[in-house]
Amino acid sequence: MSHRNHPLIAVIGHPNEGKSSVLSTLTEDDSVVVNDYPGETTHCQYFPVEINGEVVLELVDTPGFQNPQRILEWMRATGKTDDALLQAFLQQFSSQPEYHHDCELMQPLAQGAALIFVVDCSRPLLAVDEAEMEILRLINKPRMAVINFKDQDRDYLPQWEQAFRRHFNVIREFNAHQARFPERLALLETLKAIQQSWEPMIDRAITAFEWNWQNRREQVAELIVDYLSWALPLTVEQAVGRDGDKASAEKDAAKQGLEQYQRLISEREIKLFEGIRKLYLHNLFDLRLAQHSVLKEDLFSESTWQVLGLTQTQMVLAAAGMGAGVGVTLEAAFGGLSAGLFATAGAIIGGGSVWFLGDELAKIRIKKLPLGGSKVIVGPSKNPQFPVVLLDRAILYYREIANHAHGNRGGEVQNIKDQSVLRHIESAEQKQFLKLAKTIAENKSDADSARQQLAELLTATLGTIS
Amino acid sequence: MKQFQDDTPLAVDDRWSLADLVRFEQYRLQDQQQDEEQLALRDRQIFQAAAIGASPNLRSRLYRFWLAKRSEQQPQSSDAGQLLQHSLSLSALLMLLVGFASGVGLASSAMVYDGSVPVNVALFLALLVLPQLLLLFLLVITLTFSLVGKQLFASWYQPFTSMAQWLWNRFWKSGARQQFSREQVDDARIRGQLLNQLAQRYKPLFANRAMRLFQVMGIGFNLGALLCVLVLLAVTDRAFGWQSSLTTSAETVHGLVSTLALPWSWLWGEGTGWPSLQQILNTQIRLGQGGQDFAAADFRVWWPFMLLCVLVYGLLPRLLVWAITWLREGRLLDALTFDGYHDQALWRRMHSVAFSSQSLPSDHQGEAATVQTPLQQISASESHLFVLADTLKRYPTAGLQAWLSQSTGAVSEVQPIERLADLASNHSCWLILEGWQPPIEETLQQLKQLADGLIRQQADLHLLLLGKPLPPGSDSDGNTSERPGKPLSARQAEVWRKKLDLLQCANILLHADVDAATAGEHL
Ligand SMILES: Nc1nc2c(ncn2[C@@H]2O[C@H](COP(=O)(O)OP(=O)(O)OP(=O)(O)O)[C@@H](O)[C@H]2O)c(=O)[nH]1
Ligand SMILES: [Mg+2]
Repeated sequence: MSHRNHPLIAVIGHPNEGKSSVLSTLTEDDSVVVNDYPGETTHCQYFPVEINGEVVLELVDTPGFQNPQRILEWMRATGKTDDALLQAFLQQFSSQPEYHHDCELMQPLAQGAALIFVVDCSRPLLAVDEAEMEILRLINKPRMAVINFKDQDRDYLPQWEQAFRRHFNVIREFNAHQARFPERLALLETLKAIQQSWEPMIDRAITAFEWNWQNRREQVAELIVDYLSWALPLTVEQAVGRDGDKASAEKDAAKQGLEQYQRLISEREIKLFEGIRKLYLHNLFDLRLAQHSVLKEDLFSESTWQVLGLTQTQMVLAAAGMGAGVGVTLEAAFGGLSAGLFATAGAIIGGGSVWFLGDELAKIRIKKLPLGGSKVIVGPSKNPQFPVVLLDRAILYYREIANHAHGNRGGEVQNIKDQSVLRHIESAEQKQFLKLAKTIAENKSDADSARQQLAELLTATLGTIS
Repeated sequence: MKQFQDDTPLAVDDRWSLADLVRFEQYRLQDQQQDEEQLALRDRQIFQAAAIGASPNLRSRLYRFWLAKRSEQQPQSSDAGQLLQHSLSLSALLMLLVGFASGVGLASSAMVYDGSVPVNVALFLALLVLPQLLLLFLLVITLTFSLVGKQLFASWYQPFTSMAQWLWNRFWKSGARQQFSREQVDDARIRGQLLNQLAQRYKPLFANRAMRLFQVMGIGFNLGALLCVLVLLAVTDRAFGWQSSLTTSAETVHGLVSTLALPWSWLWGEGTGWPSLQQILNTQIRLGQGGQDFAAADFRVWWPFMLLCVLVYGLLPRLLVWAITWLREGRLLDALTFDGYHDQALWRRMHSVAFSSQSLPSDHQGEAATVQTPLQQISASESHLFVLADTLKRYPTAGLQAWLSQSTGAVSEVQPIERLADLASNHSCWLILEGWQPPIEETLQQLKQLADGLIRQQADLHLLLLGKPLPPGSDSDGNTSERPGKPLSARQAEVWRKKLDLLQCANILLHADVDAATAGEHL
């Protein structure tokens, strides 16, 4: 048995209680097999927490108890306890195939592991549960209980708590399907209480978890800033066809150019989303959104522009004093409900609420070419709502991804309430976002420092939602 | 600057050059396509290898070290730094030549002499010295502003860079239509991006370098002019006089001339370094007065003044500015802080921590059943009906009984047993189990034993699965027709069936009251 100088903690429990799910969520590992078929996990699986190659904490997923009552009976008969009991048990049963799971789950304990006992407390306490807890008491390793609610049912909790008090002195609730980063940290914090001497190592692990989380947030901010730096100043050129009526040829080219413009940005957005998803180690979860979620909508659909970005009042406040450019466009945006070029590109504009589209999604110019003919240049967008909508969607996507538990393989995200994030931040910050976006869009010499400021602002904003 | 720790492996030359900056940007541009994790690993290692403690301008030194390491690990097939170096030397040479040629050309045309009219000093000065004086004046203004922090030259140079970029893009765009391959065009686009980035990020540096190039041209020009004059003087004999429509007063000219000669007046006095009033009077070219005696010594007195003018107002300032820009480049390079937005990622990667909490690979597969134990609807029950006493704690006996008789049509007494092993029967019997709990090995083994016992009597073991009990508070006592607890989900029944299949007992029959709504659904 290898000697470890880092804490080893085994996750133990009855089959199908969510042991693997708890670990998957805690370690952000969606490669762990989670299944409603009991006895899915048949072997121990180790989760080393590594910092620069050094293991500071190791967690183990184990199979569930298969013979708790028979084992307890046998154990009581031996009259042994603690390590002696454990060794005797392994000697007695390791050759019997029906006891394979039970022996396997005891292995880490024999290697000096502490244990987390996972139970689903939305069900009644059964005789097998009593037996399992009693076995653990007899083996007497440092231990705690983790309550994982598979249902909302809380009626059985008092019953469980009473039983826990007899066997564990640390109890913690952790919902494998809902836990987010703070809950994960809290569980790690609780691990320190199992065994005092492990505190420094677990502290190191916690610091690394926190550092890593912050670092990823900064990377997301960078990804988003890079995306905006690309999208905001974007222009698309489209040659105007030479035959036929000149005016209609220009109109066709403008339409094609605008479509191309929108397609490029949509594609780049998908790339951004993929980058964020990868950063949060989601290989399986593909964010299956409820039908009415705004992220399911196309970036350039009407409802996206209704639900995201700033409200009319907010925009007026935030854009105040931002220079003529924005002011003029704002007027156009407020006044114009003409089914402008935006509509030609596929969106149907109707109703007074679509004020922000106006007819200016992107600037469209027609330029004569020196060798004859002309071309249409689409972009960049001067619409002040444009950067805010792009930002809002990116932040929204981040919020779903960063808060999705890896143990939750279901995947359908409920209705995203409060869809816009930017609508709910301070007006001063909204203004700041708008100003920085404008500077980046203009892409002058101060764009670089604007990018840096935006990255910092974004990191802070992301910190409030994950 | 040079406070190394004693054991520092950062031995490479830690000063930047323009070529280094270009290389630096080239590597970073390539990194944009790479996987972030691998980049972080690589940069972390470089950072650890650098092992420098706190030192002034740490970032600059670290990044320089990074560049050295990267060039070592992965030499560029086309080194943009070298390319820049070459093109800078080439353009310096070209500028020198162009300057030289124009200097020679201009000086020789100002010195045209056919023996009828003396060379006009005023024309010479106007062509060769006056523009340079103006330039000098502009330069002084620029330098004064740059002392206050305003980069005037940088703003003059902006149009130049934009034009260069525009030309570059044009060139390759037209090339795309013609002879260049797609790859060449893409490479060129990347180089164009590089150029763009460089121009944006290191503006003062490149502006300074552009200025230095202009100085080289100026130096060439003045050298050409001087050389031309000297050669002409050496091989021909020329008379110099002066002529102007603005003034005919020799005093004014004398005043101007002596002011111009101030810088060298301490070395060569009046008469040598510049002409005296009398000499100026004597050398005025008067209109309509041909046939003057150009042989007079006074007509030779001008040329040292002219040469000195070119030297002092042309060549020397260029040399001076050249030296200043040379020094300034060093200072700018040393002062690079690398703290812009685009410089953060590398810093972050260098200081990153390799962190992982993911599981070690495992290749174990789950179990799978092959035979199918048929799942049957509850039908007429036999007389022997058993249930575990533990189970009865969760399902009210009366309710259970009522439900059973209702759904099977036969009335039979439920017999509680303590453990499965207590069940003894010679006839087919029914066993009520909590089907909402996953079947575990010990239960299955006991069922197998029971079934094996019964098969000898040719009797069957009927298993009746119950769904999850209702919570203690919500008892359904008054409503006995309802099933005890919740219905079993189809998935739960399926799980039991699969586990029982593994036992391969032909006489185990499974009955469950499956919730129709969950049939076919996987929980
Ligand atoms: N609703 C809900 N379901 C959960 C939760 N945790 C686990 N489950 C489900 O419970 C089932 C079993 O989860 P696992 O994590 O595989 O359980 P396990 O304890 O590892 O099971 P074995 O490996 O078979 O011993 C899966 O279908 C999970 O989706 C939870 O917090 N909420
Ligand atoms: Mg498992």
